[in-house]
Amino acid sequence: MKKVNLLIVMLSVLSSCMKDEPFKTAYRGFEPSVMNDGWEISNPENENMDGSILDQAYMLVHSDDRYLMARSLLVFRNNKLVAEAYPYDAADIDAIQNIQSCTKSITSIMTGIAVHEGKIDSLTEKLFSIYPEYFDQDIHKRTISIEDALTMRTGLGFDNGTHTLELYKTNSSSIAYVLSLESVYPSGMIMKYKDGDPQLVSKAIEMKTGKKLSDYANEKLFSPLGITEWKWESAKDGTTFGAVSLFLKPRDFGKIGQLLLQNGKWDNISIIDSTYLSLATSIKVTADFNEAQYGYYFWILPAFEGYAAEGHGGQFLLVVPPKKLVVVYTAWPYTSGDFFDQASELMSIIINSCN
Amino acid sequence: MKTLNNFKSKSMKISLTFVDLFLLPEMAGASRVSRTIVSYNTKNLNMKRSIIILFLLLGANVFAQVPVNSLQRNSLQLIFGVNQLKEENLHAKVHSGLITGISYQHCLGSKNISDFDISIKWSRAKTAYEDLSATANAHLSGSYRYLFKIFNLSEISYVLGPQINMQYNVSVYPNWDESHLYWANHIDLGTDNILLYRLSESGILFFDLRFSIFSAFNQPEYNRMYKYDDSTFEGIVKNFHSDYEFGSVNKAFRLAIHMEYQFHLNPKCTQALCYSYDYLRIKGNENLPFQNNIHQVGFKIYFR
Repeated sequence: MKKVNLLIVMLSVLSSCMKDEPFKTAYRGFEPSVMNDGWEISNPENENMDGSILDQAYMLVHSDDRYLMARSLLVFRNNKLVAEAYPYDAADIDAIQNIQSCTKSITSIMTGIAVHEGKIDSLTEKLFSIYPEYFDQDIHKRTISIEDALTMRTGLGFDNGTHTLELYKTNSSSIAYVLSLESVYPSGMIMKYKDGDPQLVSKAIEMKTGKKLSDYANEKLFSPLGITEWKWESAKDGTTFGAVSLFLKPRDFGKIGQLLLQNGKWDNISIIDSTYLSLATSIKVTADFNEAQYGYYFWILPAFEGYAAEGHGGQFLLVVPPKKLVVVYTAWPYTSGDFFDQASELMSIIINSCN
Repeated sequence: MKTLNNFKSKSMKISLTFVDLFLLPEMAGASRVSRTIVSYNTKNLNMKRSIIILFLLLGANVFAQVPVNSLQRNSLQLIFGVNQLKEENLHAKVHSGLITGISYQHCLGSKNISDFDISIKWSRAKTAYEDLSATANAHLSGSYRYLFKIFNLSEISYVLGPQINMQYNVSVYPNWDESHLYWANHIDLGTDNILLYRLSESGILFFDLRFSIFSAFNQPEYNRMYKYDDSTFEGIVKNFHSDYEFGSVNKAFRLAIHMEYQFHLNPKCTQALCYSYDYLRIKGNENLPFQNNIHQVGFKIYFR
C-alpha cells in the first residue's frame, strides 16, 4: 500500500504542468458604457451603420489570432461613441497605455498648434537657426528644416533598431545625439522613417514656445479636450520624446481623432491651424516601405479617403472625414513585428459598416 | 564504536557521499553488510524536534556549528529538463522549453548536516503561437540547510531542518515584449525533509522535499509606464534589489522535490541519477502571478 501511495505521489509530480489560459475575455458585444467623460453614447442603427458588419470587426479582435494582443476597439461616428470593447481586460477602458508611434501624430498636432499661435512662423525655418548649439561642423545638417523633420527627410542615419534605445539611454543631450549621427542623404530628399526626426521637432517646439512639448500639449491640447490622465516620457535631458511614449486612455485618444475630424476645432474654438492640418494630412512623401503615403507624421490612406496615426503593435487612430468616422484600436504596445496586427483589414470592415 | 577516521581509512572500498554524512557519527561503526539496527535516544530526539519547531516558527536561518572533525563532501550535477513559465503580467500563456544547467553542492556533516548548494540554469522557451524559442529564462540560485537526524535505522533514515533559498529568476520575452525585462527574485525560509532508503550494498534512494514558508520577493511593476527598463548595470542591480514584498505561501511559494539514486561504478567514486521537480509561484500586491514549473533529470558525481 505504501508503495502504491508513493507511486501515486511520484506520478502526480511527474505529470504536473501548467495550462494555457485564454488571452481574452468572452465576447459580450460592443455596446459602449456610460461614463462621465464627455462622450455622447449612440448605437450603429442611429448613426446609419450596419451593426452586423461592425460585429464582424469585434469578433475578429476577440477571437482571431492575428489580433492576439488587442486591447481596445472603439468606433465613433457623428461625434458619438457608437461601439467599444476591451477584449483583454475590461479595466482597459480607464487605463492609460503607450500609443507608441501614434505619438508622432500628436507631435505633428502640437506643431500645428504652435503655428496657430504664431510661435512657429514657417515650416521652412532651419533647425540650425532655432538651436545652433547642438549642431556639429557638418554643413549638410544645417540645412534641415522643420518640414524636413516632419516628413522624415532629415537625411540623418538614425536607425530605430539601435538608435531609439540609445536615445533613451543617453545622458547627454538627446538632440545632440540625433544630430551627431552621420548625414546619409541631403536633407529634404529621401524619406526614411525614424524616431530621431520627431525628437528634433519636439525640441523646436520647446524652443519656440518656451515649454517642453508635454507641458505645452497639456495646456493647449489635453486640457481643452478634457484629457486629465496621460503620461508622456522625456529623454534624460528633459526633452519630451517626439516619436513615442505618450500614454493615453482609448476614449481620450478618440477625442483627438474627433478634433482632427472637426478640422482642429473643439467646442467651436479653433485649436489647430486648419491650413497646417490640411497639409499634415495630405500626401507629402512616399515612405521607404510598402510605398505608403505620408504627410506630417500622419499616414495618408487614399483608398479609405482618410488618414491615420499608427503605432507599434498595430495600434491606430483612423480618421475618415467623408464618413465622419473615427476609429481607435489599441494593442499591447511592445510586441515584436511577428505579432503586428492587421490594421488595414480592421479599418476596411469598419468603414464598410458605414452607410 | 568506530570513529570518523575509520571512514577515511584505506580499507574503505567506496567513497563517502552526502548520504554517508547522515549516518555519522551514530552509523559510523555500523557495517552496511550486517545492517545493524542502531537504537537512538528518545529523549534526545524530542529535544531535537523542539528545536526544529522553534526554528521553523521563527523562520530562522540556522548557521552550522561545524565540529573540528567534521567530514566534507562535494558534488557536481549536470541538469537537463523541461521548463514552463507563466508570466501573467505579460499574458496567461505558458512558455515551454528545454532547460539545462549545473549545480554544485558542498556538505559538512558530523552530528548534524550542514549543506550549501548553488546552481545556474538556462532555458529557451516558446508558446504555441511561436515557431522559434525566442524567450529566454535564467536562474541563479543558492541555498543553505541545516538538518537534524530524526531517526536513523539500518535501511531508512529521516532528517529534517530549516533551509534558506535565494534565487534570481529572470526572463526576456522578445516576441511579446521587446522593451522590458521580467524577473521574480526571491529569498525564502522554509523546511527541508530528506528520507533515505538503502536498497543494497551500494544503492541508495534519496527523497528530498523542500518548501518555503516565509518569503521576500520582488517583481517588476505590472503597469510599467515607461518604454524601456533601465538597462545599465546599476539600473538592473537596483531593479533586482528594491521594492521587496514579504509574505507567506499565499504570496510566494516554492516547492522542490528531489529524488536521487546513488550508486558506485568504481570504488573511488559515487554517482547518482537524479530527478527533480521545482515549482515557484509569486504574486505581489500590485502584480499578477508568475509561475515556474521545472521537471529535470540530472547526473551527479560526488567527490571529496
